[in-house]
Amino acid sequence: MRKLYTIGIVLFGLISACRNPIEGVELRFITPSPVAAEVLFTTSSGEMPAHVNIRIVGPDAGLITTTVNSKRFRLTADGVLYLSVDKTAQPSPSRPLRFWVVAKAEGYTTLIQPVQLTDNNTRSLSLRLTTNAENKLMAEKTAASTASGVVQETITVQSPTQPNQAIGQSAITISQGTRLDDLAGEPVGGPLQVQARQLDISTKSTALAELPGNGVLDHPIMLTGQRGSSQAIHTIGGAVNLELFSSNTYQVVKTFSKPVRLNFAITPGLVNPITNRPIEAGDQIPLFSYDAMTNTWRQEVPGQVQRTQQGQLEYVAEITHLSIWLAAFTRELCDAGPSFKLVTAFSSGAVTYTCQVIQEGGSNPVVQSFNTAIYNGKVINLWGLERNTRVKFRIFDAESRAVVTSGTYDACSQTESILDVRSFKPVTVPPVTSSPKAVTITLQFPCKKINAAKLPTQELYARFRETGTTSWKMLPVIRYESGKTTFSTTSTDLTPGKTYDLQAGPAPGYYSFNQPGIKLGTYQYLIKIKTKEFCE
Amino acid sequence: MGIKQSILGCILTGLSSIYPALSQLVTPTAGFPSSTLRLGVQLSTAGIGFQAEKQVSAQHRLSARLGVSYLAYRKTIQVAAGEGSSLTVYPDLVLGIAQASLKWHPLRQYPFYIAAGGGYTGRPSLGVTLLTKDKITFGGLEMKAEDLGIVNASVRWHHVLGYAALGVGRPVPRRRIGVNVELGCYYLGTPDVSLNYEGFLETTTIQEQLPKIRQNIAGYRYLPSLTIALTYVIPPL
Repeated sequence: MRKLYTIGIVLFGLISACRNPIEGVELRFITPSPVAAEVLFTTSSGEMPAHVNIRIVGPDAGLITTTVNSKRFRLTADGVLYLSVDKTAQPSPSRPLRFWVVAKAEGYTTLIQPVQLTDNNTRSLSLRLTTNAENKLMAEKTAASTASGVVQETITVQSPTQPNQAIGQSAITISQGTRLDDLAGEPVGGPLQVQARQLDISTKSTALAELPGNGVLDHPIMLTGQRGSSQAIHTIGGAVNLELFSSNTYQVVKTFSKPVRLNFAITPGLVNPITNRPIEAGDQIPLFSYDAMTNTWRQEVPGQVQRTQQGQLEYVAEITHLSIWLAAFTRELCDAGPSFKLVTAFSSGAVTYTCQVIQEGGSNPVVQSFNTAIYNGKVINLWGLERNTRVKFRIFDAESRAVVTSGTYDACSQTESILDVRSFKPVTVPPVTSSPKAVTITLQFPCKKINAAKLPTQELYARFRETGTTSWKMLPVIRYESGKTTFSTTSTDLTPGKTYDLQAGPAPGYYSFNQPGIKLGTYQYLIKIKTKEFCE
Repeated sequence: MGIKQSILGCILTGLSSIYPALSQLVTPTAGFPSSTLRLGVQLSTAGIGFQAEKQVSAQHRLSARLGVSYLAYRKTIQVAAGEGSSLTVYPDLVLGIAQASLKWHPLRQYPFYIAAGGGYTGRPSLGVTLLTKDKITFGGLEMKAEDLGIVNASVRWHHVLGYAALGVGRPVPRRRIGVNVELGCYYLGTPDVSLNYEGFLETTTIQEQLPKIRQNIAGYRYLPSLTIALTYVIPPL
């Protein structure tokens, strides 16, 4: 039987004058596209799920690719997603590229992150994947709309009740007949998923940790449509992150044809900082929304506190789009404040000094703290201070216990004052250390001369980590230099005597080649390539 | 070279080597009536199968034949990839052909015949899946299984096939059990290649090279077959 097959196969070859299927095929690496967005996914455990399904959706999703121009989006083993922009597109402020990154993993809450690209710079994002068990404050509900995006039954989503009322509770109600549209104005029809993630407002610090901007609403767009002064969050009435998207296509709802009702349960005893008494029915609390795509806060029509039939206080507002919603009293910040010109004997700033801004009469007097180098004539400008407050500036000597404090100034006064710090001890300048010696990483081909035309690529992207650790660090691009028989690069981040894992590949995010556990003996890290395929 | 010449050349090449021996086995003598139905089992390079044959014109020595054949090969293959590594190859070949053909014995005195017809196959493809279950090591570097990924390549032909053959066997058997030997070629049409992959190949220009691969395999249009059939005469009622 085997002979018969052999005869058949031989004849097959004869009659069809068969060519080798891969005759003349030249396989090279794809020239990678620049990284437009680098998205780092993290988890509370530090371990990434076994499989994270990544989708890119939204109006400009068609223009987003991997770094090797494909649509097979995936994370590296350590949770990094690299995205590029199609060569035909050129993001600009007037024509930004807008899309959502959807990450779905077994046992984890589906994450939808809007991204906007306005230039060719790499945008870095860090996103946290949370398990369903971790999301105790998340309410999820499935719903449906018609093909034209019209909700046929009223949708109500309420965040889970918490034993600690201070954490807060929120609810949204989308009434029957409301049409749901995406960012491009297209209706979102079919099965829907609603996510309402209550932000923990039990303490100001926990709330601020969850809100973008670290407690400052950066130049929000006011109701007038103009950019206003930045606002510091003072007292929070409620905060919730709302998402509504198609379960099938992940098309994200942005706007409603009818206002959607938003409720926050008011924490008992919450004080209205304007009236300095507990909040009561009829009080208004300013309302803000945050657009994660454009990184913009917007002032919205404020809601009002009402008393429910059960006698509890709740804040009620009407919203017209989905994002992070925040009901909070804020304090206006000044873009520029007082400045201080230093008088000192020091001519260079080799050492940094601790500086503080003290608010007069404040409950937490130190409102700003930072370190800076000083030298004679240096001007330190203060900014971002609360309007209608008075402040002092003080600076601590690095070599003694001496402290120099300024006079008191209006936080928004743009005055320049002299601050004499000649009492500071001369600094002991640390000896100048020579710059660290660089390690050269070389890929050596076994040739006298390379046929550069045969090389599948002329640059490799590599990263390393110390063996036993989990944090990878990028190396400079390993390049082939014309006329040489090597690819090489240098790095001062590697140290002889340590053991490293190295990964390399033809594009960011594609590190196919591994060299684990290599002990670096000298400043030369040599990798010998055995194939003579690329030799002349 | 034209299609007909190719087929003919292929058939003659193989048949010329086996005809002298076969012609001695089968001697033209009087046998069963010409309307006799013959059923047979066949063993072929295109698989095992069954056939039914009946003479439709004694004057023109013309017979009609229907048959089916089946061939499957899915045995996993391990291919050494150097330095103790191996690649796992999963071939996927299933060839089921339903066939109809006419046989013509041009020479009254000799059992030599020419057959031509067509066939249909529901799954005209040959696939192969390649992956590694462990890492691959080469030159001090490693490629993890997930980095190499999975490559799935398949070549697909047309569902409808052409068939032509030369054979040895009497038009009307002398005995109840007879033997036919046939060397033929299927015409499969121009093949198409599809390549699905994830992993390493994603970073290469393989997609740009697919037209070249398609061009290279464009000649893979013929499937030769060597068939030995054992036939049994169903006596007339």
